Amino acid sequence: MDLLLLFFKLGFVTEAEYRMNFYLHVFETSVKFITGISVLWVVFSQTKSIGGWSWDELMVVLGLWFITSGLINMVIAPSIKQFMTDVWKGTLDYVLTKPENHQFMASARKVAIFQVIDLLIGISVLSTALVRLGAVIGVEQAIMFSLALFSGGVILYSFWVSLGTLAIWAVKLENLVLVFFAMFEAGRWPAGLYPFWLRYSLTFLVPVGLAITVPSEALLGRLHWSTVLLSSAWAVVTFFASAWFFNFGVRKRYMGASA
Amino acid sequence: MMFRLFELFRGYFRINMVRFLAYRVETVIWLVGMILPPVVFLSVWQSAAQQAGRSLAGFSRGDIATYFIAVMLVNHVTQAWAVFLWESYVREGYLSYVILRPNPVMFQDFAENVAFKVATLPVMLLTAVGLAATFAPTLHWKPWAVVAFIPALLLAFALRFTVDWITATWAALNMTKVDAVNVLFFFILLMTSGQMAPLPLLPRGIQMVANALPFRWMLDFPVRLLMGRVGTEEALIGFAAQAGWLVAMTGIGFVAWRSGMRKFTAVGL
Repeated sequence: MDLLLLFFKLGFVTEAEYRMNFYLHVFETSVKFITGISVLWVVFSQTKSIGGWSWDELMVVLGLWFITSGLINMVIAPSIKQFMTDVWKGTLDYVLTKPENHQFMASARKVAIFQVIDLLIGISVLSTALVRLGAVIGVEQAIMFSLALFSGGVILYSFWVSLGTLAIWAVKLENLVLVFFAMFEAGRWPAGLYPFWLRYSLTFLVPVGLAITVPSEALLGRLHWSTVLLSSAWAVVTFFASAWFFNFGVRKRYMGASA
Repeated sequence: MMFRLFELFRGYFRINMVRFLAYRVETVIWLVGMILPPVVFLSVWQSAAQQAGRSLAGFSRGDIATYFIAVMLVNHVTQAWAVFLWESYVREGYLSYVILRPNPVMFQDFAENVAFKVATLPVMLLTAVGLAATFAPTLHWKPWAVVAFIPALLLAFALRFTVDWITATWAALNMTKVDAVNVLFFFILLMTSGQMAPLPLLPRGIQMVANALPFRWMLDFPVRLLMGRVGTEEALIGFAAQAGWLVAMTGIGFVAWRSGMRKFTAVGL
């Protein structure tokens, strides 16, 4: 935990050096935000709801999308990308010699602190939407939502860890990361709108639906406990599977390059 | 001169063709990013039309499917990606080598572009057939419009390529930070070219902006022409607009390139 805090501090210090980058990031995120809103606005100039989702309900999805995107881009994606480069260059040796949990080091070492802005935008969009919906969130819904969101986060995390571990076998993987982000864009809309093949790939292949659509549904009170439990169970399975895979890869297959 | 350029093009084309076929996985991965967005908007607009229980601005659910499948194909043919390449060209110093070569710099990007499209066209066509099977598009062909579509498509490609190249080189040579410009560029492209919705479905304000910019002639015009939704008069206006914008943009491109080159101080030597 202390270490995570240290990584955050380091991330802040590194990025504070480049103040221009901060403004650029603010600009890029604002354009991203405006894009999201404008697309919704255009669609809703033609209809009152789509696939059973109203404007405010889709804002909940958009808010969660920004939150998820912020979290992934802040810690997980930069660290795993660093891990991939380390495997490729052999500098992973330096990480492995440190007396800390390897997986933690691999998945939390690099922090892109500016992504806080995406998180803040996500949280404000989400809360505005909820206020406008006048949603009275019961205790049950809150529990469901937290469980679903947490499970979704764990599943996405496990997905990234597995993706990173694959780098031990196949060297050129940056492009798979690009596929993830292409698929992630599709998460701005509830997965139910898509044809079945895309819906299933968004649930199982690239688990964006589980991280965004399912928690939104929980918050809006249209989710059964069975889905929440399934999602949680799946989170447990993927978490341990990816941890096993990571250890197997790093201990048994990674040969080291500098030694 | 022409012959030399042709030989040069063949050379670059071959190099890139080999590259795309050798790194097949990478190539396929790029395709995912080009196939998904139209499918997303297709799904969204079909749901919207279903909810409304009617056709939207003259687009029935089947028309929406046709529109976005055509958008995917036209977008593939007209696509240009210099905006992705140029930041690293400048930052990593690659441009310094390129400008030493005695051929137009644009040529290399152009050959790469064409090679990628030739290599991936079969996959795109297969995808289009697959999507047609899923989304039940409706077809109303007009023979003359299909013939007119071909020059419209080529002009659209020329225009898109030129505008993209101007944006990329201008941003890379003058500010070295291309990402921010990219984000804005893609936002405008998304909103005003017809990528996110057929133009008649957009609110009036955005339509007016779209009319004042070159982007609708890169996508919306060829797509609607192919669908047989453009009258003869509108088609002529479209061709004139494409040609006019292309001439204007080529001129701007020359000026921007000259001034950019004068400013360019090589990095990474």
